[in-house]
Amino acid sequence: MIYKNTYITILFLIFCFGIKVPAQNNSKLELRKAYDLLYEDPQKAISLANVIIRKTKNHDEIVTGYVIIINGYSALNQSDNALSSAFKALDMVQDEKDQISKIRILGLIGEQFQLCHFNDESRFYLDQAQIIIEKLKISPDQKSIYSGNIDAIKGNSYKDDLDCNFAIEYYNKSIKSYASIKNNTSATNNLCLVYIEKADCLIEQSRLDSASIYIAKAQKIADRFSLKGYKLSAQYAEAKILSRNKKYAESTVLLVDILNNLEKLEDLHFRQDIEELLVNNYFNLNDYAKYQIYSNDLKKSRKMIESMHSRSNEESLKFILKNNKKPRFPSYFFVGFAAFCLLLLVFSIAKIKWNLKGNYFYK
Amino acid sequence: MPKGGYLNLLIHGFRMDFRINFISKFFGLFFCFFFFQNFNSQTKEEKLNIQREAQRLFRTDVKKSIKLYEYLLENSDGQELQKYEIGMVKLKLLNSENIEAIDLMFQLEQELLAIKNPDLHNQFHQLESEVFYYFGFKKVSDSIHKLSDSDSKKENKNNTNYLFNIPAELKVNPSSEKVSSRMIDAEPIERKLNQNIGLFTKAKYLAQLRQYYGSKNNQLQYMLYDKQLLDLQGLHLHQLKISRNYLVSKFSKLKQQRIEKVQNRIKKWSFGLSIIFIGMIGLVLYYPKNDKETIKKKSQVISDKAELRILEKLKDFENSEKFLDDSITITILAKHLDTNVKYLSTVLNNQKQKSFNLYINELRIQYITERLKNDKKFRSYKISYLATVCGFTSHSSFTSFFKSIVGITASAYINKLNQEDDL
Repeated sequence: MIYKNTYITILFLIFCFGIKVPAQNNSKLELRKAYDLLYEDPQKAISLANVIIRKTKNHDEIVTGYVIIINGYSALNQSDNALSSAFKALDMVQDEKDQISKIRILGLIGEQFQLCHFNDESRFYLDQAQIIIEKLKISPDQKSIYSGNIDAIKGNSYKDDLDCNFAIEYYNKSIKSYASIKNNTSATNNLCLVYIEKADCLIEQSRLDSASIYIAKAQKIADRFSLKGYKLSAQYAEAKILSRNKKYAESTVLLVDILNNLEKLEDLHFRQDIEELLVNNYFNLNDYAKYQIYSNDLKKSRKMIESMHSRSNEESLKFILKNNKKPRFPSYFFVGFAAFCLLLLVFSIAKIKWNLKGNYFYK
Repeated sequence: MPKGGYLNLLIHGFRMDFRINFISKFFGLFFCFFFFQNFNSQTKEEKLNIQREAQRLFRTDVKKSIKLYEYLLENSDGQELQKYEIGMVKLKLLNSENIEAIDLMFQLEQELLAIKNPDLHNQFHQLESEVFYYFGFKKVSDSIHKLSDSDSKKENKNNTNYLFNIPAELKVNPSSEKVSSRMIDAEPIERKLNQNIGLFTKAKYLAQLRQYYGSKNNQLQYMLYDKQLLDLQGLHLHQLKISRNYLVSKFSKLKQQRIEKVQNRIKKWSFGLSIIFIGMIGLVLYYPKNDKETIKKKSQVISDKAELRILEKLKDFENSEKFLDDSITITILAKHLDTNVKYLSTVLNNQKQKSFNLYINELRIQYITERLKNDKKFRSYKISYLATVCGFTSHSSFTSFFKSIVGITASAYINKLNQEDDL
């Protein structure tokens, strides 16, 4: 059973939407610093980005600052704050008519709603981003990376809805987009993540051999670029396959190894998935003592995640309802009303003047 | 042959037949009414009993409870149907049929929009509030809860506790509650587990079995039921997650639909109002032209004879010095000339190209200038006195009229006359 993880999405969106960080002047250097801090100290990255937003007047730098803040809150599992910043940024880019930034922010909003498991809402924003991508005249590489990102998140949303057939369709689209880009590290990193997600779906469909192929591909990229987080995710998928093949002991060794390496990363969802698989393995191995340990850990993780979700869900709903279009009077009504008022005013003034000049009703 | 012939017999017979027919029909209707009343009360009582039974089974056998409610729904209509639908939403949630429950709830909302029944509306608000609370949206739940009146809030608070508490066995944070009661024998519970039972009931049984085998130090069996309970909890959490997404999506869409309805209404009103504005603007712009044209048209309506007669009378009026009367108005003058206001106004406009006020005031200024010319005594009077003499009630209107007609002020005119005389 899967009640799906989003264990790689946090890293995913950093790579997906945070690629525009040039390093030239002072504030750009600071942005680069904040961007690098996202992995180690998200809170510090958020503070730094906030300072940059206050200081700079450059539109691109402000948008990148917001992207860092959104990713930072996302890394801290504070979806409500992430969404709040994302909608602020969206308001800003809508005013500026900056289409590229709009795609980035819409993608991030879609990602945030996906993390809250509001998948319908997530797809609504991702579809909007997709429409802009199709209309916009940008380089094929840029188009591919943005489309790849949107399709990958859509894939995640369908996987979360337990619709792996649909999810695989989107993962395939995403893979096709990323694979078409040559010599781009971000695209290759994202490709690695989509391989893992697709493999996870294939495992759920019991297509274990196909899943192994994608895991191997992902591991190759992770090794080449020393992507520790991705490597652990690929290992987890491998452990899952071993468990499905009833090789519980081997799967357990792999999982314990991941857990030992995961301590620094503090990813609750990933931890929960590992604990769940360990509980399953120890249950099948009839190891009561170990089962008890991980069963208790799993309960704790579930408790933490549920309380985290209930807090963020409520806030996210607030954003969904807030963004429903409110009823407005059409513009022609205001034009008509204004014209009427103006005429009334002119007429009143004319009448007063006429009374004063010639028409003495009183003597 | 009867008295009065066949015709009489026929009439009597018809009357007789009519009476029998009437009596039979009257009694027939009475019996029907009585039977219907009796049947109606019987069905009402039957439905009440079924409802009671279904409520009794809420916790123990939710599936049977749902079947009983399905029977009630099939045999009801109107507002009674909606009342049972509210109960059905709760039951479906208890049976983990979250999506169906949400669908039914929003369908019910649409149905209730057309009905004016405050009691039913309150019950629905209470239900909606409970559903949002159940899925973890406490703030929305509170805001909906405020919509229902205080009585139903109190009444339904107990129902909330009874119906919508997720069993402690499935909660991720059951610390404040006892997980399950004491259990004597595992076997009957294990048998029940294989039956078609709801998720919540299953969780309760699994927790009881886990507790039982834990107390017996049977690690393998303990582990078996603990694992099953963990899986069930995982399933429940997953269902909650999917349902939250569905609830939020549906709630948002319905809210948007409602907003769109309001928007359409606003559009219609705006369109209507805009047309009225445009019409009024057109009317204001067109009015002066229209006014002149009507006057022209009206002038054509007055006969030449009538016009001449009015003009003659006006001449008499001009010579009579009656215009010096400060209380004179167009109505008084029209009466004096044996005509009406419209005719007089038309003649003044056409023949003198003046309004009534201008006509009268010109006569007055003309009179006073003549008097000033011919009677030197007048030149020594105060301007305010001169104004009163010629019929003006206000000093300022006299001076401004004097200047606009003569071209200079009254005092300058007097000075000028004096200078001319000195020469």
